[in-house]
Amino acid sequence: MRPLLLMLFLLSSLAAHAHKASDSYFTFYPQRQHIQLDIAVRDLELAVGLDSNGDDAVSWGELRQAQSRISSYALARLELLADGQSCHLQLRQLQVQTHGDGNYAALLLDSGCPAGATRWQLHYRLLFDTDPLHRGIASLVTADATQTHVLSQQQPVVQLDASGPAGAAVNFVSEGVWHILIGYDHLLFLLCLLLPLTLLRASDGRLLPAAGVWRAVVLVVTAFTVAHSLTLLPAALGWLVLPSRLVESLIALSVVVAALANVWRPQPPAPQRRDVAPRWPAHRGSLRLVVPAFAFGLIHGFGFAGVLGELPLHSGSLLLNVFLFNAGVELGQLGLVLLVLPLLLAVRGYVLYRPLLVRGGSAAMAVCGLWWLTERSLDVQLWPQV
Amino acid sequence: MLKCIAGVVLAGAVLAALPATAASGPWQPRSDRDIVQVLPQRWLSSTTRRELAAAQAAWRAEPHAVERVQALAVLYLQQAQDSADPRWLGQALALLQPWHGQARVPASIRVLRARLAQHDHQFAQALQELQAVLKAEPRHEEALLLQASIHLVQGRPDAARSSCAALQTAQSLVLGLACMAQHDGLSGKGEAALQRLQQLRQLPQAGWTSDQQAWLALITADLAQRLRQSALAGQEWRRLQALAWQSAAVRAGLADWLLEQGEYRAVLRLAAAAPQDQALLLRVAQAQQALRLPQAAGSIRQLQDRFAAARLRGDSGHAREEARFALHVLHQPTLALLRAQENWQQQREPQDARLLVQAAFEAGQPAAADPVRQWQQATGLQDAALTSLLQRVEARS
Repeated sequence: MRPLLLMLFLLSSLAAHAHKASDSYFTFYPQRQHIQLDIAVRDLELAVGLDSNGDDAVSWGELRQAQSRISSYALARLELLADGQSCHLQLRQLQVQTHGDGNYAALLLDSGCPAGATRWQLHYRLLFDTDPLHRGIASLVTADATQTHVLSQQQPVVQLDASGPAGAAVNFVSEGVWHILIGYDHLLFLLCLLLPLTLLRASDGRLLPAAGVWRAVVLVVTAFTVAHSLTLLPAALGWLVLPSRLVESLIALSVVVAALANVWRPQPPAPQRRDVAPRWPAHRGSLRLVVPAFAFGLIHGFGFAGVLGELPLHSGSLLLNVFLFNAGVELGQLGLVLLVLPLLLAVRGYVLYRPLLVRGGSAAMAVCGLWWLTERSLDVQLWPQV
Repeated sequence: MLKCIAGVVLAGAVLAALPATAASGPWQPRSDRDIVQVLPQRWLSSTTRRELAAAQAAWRAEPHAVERVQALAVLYLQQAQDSADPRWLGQALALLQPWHGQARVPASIRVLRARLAQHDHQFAQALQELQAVLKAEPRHEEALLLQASIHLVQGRPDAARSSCAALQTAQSLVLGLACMAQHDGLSGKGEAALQRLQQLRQLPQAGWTSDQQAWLALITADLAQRLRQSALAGQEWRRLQALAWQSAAVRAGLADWLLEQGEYRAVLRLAAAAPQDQALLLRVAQAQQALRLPQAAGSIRQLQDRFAAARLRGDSGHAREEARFALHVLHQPTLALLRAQENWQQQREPQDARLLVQAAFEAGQPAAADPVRQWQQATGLQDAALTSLLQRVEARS
């Protein structure tokens, strides 16, 4: 025990840090459909074993003999996606590359990506099980620039974008838009908020003019947006964590509650006194929806954060990427409101609007919400997926 | 966020420079018999090899057995200590993966994690692990020692003192005394500490292992040098030179002393005798430069590559070496000052203090030395070289 203690004590004064840790280099030349993957021979020895004659050195012959093992080891732990499609990586030739700390096996690969792609995603898993401190240095080399990203066990996915940082930014925004477009539970909740607003009445008992409805919609949707932005950021950064089953169930519950509220009381109460030309902050009746919009918005934010795990957030600034994603979500929301609201305003005058669209539609949405709620809270699948 | 942007910019700059520094491209050896890479096992003694093989076999049989993990991890750590090669640490870390994210972790695993975190300069994380251990076992020797040493490295001798005191009440009286002496030597009671260390030296050395002797010699030499007792310091360093057992830390300290004495060839001999030691390259480069050897350019380039690679992968903890490199080899005092200040945020041993003040002096920014002056007054550190450096800086301002 003594030697251990002393050794440990001495280690504290270990001044030496002019050393090189374990890195691999993945350099991608998209125009030439060519990749060079450099893996340190020392690391390969640990991963697949190269020194067949046991002389504590790896010769060129030993390296060549291990070529297929090296190739299958590396390619099994790499995945390159081009615009969402898998690239078929193939080893063309094995050579040697010298770096500052020794020689590396240089795997010259054909990327096999579909032509014309501009965005790639690299999933990297080499060597982490034998050395968690290993890093992959991934570079994208195009005519105008070289981008570099560092892959680690904590961040094994990276986004490579030929269009440069502006392109990468657009990517996160579009991911945000996409995720709200496919987020049916979020959309239904939003719709449940919109429907009663179209039935707001002015002081004279008539339907509120379109401008008034727009103002009310802006207020309520802003409350929802602010709320889900408030929780999306800390959840994405890992400061606030809620179990996803709980979050998804609560989101489903929000749809049920909002929909049932519309079935029960489809329109906000008429104004009590003469609200002449209701101005900002909008019609009183809309205020009744602001609080639930905000409250449930907080939960929906956690829901968005859940999908962020799939994205390569850590290439670049995490904060910026989350912000851009959120901006995408807002844009998507805005687009939907701009699409749906005029349609609703156009038909709200019809006599069947309230019973059919608002009540009936809300009832249908309540059923959807209940379906989701059952599936998510009980973790079952009510309808077997083919 | 700024760090990320800076990192990306720097990475771009590094990559732009890389083609100039790295070899031109992939190449093919001429013959199958050409050696592509010598493996680090080459430098292991046969006993170590056997030990490692046995421990690895035992571990593979039961990867979740705490004692087997500890046994193998300690061997890896010994190799890391000998060579300053972080791949050994990575391998040790891989052994601890089964306990990643678990709530109940055995104390020995926690201490290993703390050790690895400390080496990676994640001092806060290391202290957290140690506190968890000490909460359950307040007299855990290893944890107390490691905690004391982290506090000392970060320039908090008072915090170290309580850990040393706790050690003394535990069974390791000698260790506790030595720990205390080291603490005292860094907080104003240098002469008394030196006396005590020499008294410890008088104890029958038969029971001491060579690494214990090396440690005692190391802290005595450092303290004597700071108190301007160069004869005693020289004696201890010679003793270290003669010792069969050395670690990268000992060799680094020895090389630094040899450089100060102007014994450049001795530095090169030291490095040649320990080819597995990756940390000596900086001292070798200094020696080669002083001797105006042509190999100096190659060493310098190799060091630049290493530092650039470390920055690229986001490793912290190289600031001290980078500052020394910039100051003594590249002769770029402004860059050296930047790195020295970065280093000062992480660790505050006497040599870090001297480095910062010297860089401030040579960069013509005397105000940058103020934090060191305040720290020295607060801790009571006795260091003749540091004091004279501070006086020179003050004279200039």
